[in-house]
Formats: sequence, C-alpha cells, structure tokens
Amino acid sequence: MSAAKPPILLVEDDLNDVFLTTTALKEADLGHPVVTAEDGDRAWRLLDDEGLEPALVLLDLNLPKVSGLEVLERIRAHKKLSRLRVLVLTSSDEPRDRARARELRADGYLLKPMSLDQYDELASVVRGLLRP
Amino acid sequence: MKPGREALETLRERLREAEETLDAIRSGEVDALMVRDPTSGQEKLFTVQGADFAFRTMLEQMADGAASASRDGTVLYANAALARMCGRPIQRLIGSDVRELVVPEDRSRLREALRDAERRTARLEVTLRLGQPPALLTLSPLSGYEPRAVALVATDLSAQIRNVELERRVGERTAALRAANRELEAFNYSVSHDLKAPARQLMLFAELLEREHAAALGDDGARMLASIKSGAARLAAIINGMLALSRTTLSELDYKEVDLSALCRAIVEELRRAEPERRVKVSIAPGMTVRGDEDLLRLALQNLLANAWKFTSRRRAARIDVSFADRAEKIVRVRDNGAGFDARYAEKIFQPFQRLHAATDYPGTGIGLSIVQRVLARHGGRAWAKGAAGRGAQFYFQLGRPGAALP
Repeated sequence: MSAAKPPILLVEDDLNDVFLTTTALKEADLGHPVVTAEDGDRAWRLLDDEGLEPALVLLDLNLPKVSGLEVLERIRAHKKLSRLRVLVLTSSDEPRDRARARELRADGYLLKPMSLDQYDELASVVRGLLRP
Repeated sequence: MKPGREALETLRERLREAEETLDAIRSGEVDALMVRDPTSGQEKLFTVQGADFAFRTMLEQMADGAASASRDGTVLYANAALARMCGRPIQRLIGSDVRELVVPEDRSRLREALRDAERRTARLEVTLRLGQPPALLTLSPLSGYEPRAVALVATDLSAQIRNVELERRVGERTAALRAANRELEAFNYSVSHDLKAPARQLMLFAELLEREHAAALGDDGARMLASIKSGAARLAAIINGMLALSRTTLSELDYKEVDLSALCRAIVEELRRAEPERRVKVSIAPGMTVRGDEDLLRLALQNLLANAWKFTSRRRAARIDVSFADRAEKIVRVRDNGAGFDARYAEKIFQPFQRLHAATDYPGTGIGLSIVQRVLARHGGRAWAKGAAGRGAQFYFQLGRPGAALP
C-alpha cells in the first residue's frame, strides 16, 4: 500500500446511507479512507478545528444542526478550505437546492442512488473528482 | 240632549269625517275628489288619472322609498316603502317636515342637500331610523312645479351592505381554506419527503441481499425477495407521485409562452428511450403554444403521454396523437387507441389513487391524472376525459384565461 491518501469526508446522518455509500466507495477501490460526520456541526468541527484535509467532501443537504448548504457556505467563505472539492449527494430534487448549490460552486450535485447500478455511477463521479 | 251639546257632537262628527277624508287622500285610497268652492259655489273635480295614475301606481309599488316636498320642506307625498323605512305610517309623514324623515344627526346635511337640490340632483347617505342600515337619498329638483318642489328617492343600502359583508366573509373563509390547504399540502410534502429515504433503502438493501446472499436464500427466499423489491419500488413510485402532486400546489406559477408541441416531442423521446422495444406511432401537431407555467405543463403532459403509452402497450398498432381539438379555444387533446375506460368513470379517474385497471395489467399509482387536473386547476383551467372500454381514450385540457390562475 502506498502512503495514506487523504480521506473522503462523508457528511451523512442516515446510517443506512452511510453503509451503502461507504460500501460502494470501498468496492470501487479508490484507495482513500472514508471519514464520516453525522451532522453539519460535526463536519465543520472536523474541517475547521481539527484541521482535516479531505480530498473530497460528499455532502448530504438535509442534516441535523447545521444544514449541508450551510456547511458548503462556510467552506467557500473559509480562507484555507474555499477550494475544497464538494459533491452534493442528496435526495432533494428541489430546484431551489440545486440553484443554491450551484451558487456555492458545488463540484457536483447527485441524487442519492435508487439502485446498485447507480452507486457504480456515483463511484465513477467520485473517481473523476479525485483526480488531481 | 241639550242643543249646544248636540251642535258640538255634529261638529265632532264632521271633524272626524274630514280627518278620515284627509287620511284617505294621504294614504292614496282616494283617486278623485270633488271640492266645492265656498265663495263661487262651483264644484271642482281633482283626479289622479292617465299618465299620472300609472306613475303613481309605480311609485306605490316600488321598493325604494319616494317622497316629494315643497320648497319650505313640507312632505307633500310619501309612498309605502318610505313609510316602512322610516317606521312611521304614511299619514304621519305627509304634512310633516322633510328633515324629520332622518335622524337628528343627519338633519343639517339634509338641509344643505335640499338647498342644492333646487338646482341639481344631490345625493347623500342618511339614517332614516335609528339602528337601521343607512339609505341613499337622491334629491332632484321638480322643475316646472310652482311653488318649487323637490323629489326624494330613498334607496335601502342594507342589501348592498349585506353583500359587501358577505363577500368579505366569503373572501376571508376562502383565504383561510386556501391557507389550511397549503398547510396540509406542505405536511403531505414533508411526510412524502421523509418516506423517500426508507423506501429507497428498502429497494437497495433487497438488491444487495440478492447480490450477496442469493445462494443462502434458496428459491423460496428469492421469490420473497422479489416481492419485497417490487413492493418497495411501488412504494417509491407512490411517494414520488405524492411529491409531484404536492409540488403542483406549492410551487409558484411562472407564466410564459410555452411550446406544448416541443414539450410533447421531448417527452415521447424519453418514453421511447425507456422502452426501445415498443413500436408506437405518435403524431404531435406542430405549433401548439399556450401561456402558462412550463414546469407544471410538462408534468401534466408527462402524465398524459405516459398514460397513453402505458395503456396502448397491448395494442399491436399503437397510436397516440396530440393536437388542438379546438384551435381557437386552445383545447388540447391527447388521444390513444389503447385500453380505454368505461365512460361512467370519466370523472372518477382524476381522483387520486383511483385506478380502473388491475395493477397486473397496467401498473400505476393512480396519482398521474390527479396531477394533470391540479396543474390545470392551478392555471384556472380544467381537464376532462372521454373514452370507451377497449376503444381508446381521449384526454382534453384547457388553460384558464390569463388572470384566472389560483394563487
């Protein structure tokens, strides 16, 4: 194994989704460990206080405490983190959420997969975003 | 009986007769009067006849109060309606001061209006009787009469006031109902939204189980798993339908020119991509444009075309066509030669969860057509259907006139 790659930060409060997404990422063999934050507040503390430098943030929008869009807003306003790659992964098909994510320069907006095939597609989008 | 007393009785009798005669004149019971001039001894006949008689009948019968008054303000004539409005008998009105028709607070205004009315028509709102709704008084000069006089018409405003009040209350209740409806819809929306995740996960874990543990499940287990998967898929479809239905109520309308023909072509293309093995002859009339909300109209057409697509699935030569059934009225018709439906249910099929076909024949959630109807209702328009079992279906819709849209 090569030197540890920076992690993927998965911000997701639903444990079933955490399981499904981490399984898909593991199977895709991306080589990046996955760190999970179960709400927006915890995600922000990992990034801001604990200095986590993830290769990519997979961000759910509907989160307890601090919402996904707010986390994204803080990331974009932060001196060091503003260029962090963020892929929104949500079940919200609301045009308003999509528009706001675009405004905040999200690197992608994916709806949560409805089938295992779609998890493969998710993995390939993630792989594309991890390229330097 | 003493002679003096007798004379007094006669006098009283004549006075009573004179009063009765006056009352009869005042109340309109007398149409003609013979009066003898005491000096010349000539008899003169005063009648209410001809044109005057017709007008008087109208005055007597009309619902508005009417009166005439001399320049010095003495009531010369009053009809029954005015007496009713003032709450006094006609006999008490005639000969009284016209200012006494109204409550004391309104008297000075009436005096001014009477002065104006010598030259032109004057209008003012007054109270004729304490505690009653106001009346509109119209005062007009009676030119050509000497001495000069004024005609008064009193219109009871209570019906108008009642209508305004009624309208206000209906408006209030409609607003309250609409707010309650939206609240219910917002609730429906958030419940549906929360159900999305578990339905999705049910499907995914069933798929995962199938992929990872098929051998352990055996044939029986695989069949059960297939049922779980189809049940979960149906659940997800219903939830998506409910979300779409809520969105038709909750979204803001964005009016612009919409090319329905182009929308239909794009939707049919999607349907063909999803089921490339289907052979359906689709004809879409070009240039069907309307003013409306594009997203909602797309949703309506998606449901109508998906319906036509689905219900022609057992036809060898399936046909769907979309055109204006009435170009001037912009009535759009989506016609297919599919399974059709019993015409008795033409109204019922627009209700949510109403299905006329077995799910095994034509799967569906029963929400699609209620979405169509709601989209049209939002536009102040409507959707309707015609069909016969086994002979295809025709769905029609028409948008409301601009401004008829519901908020």
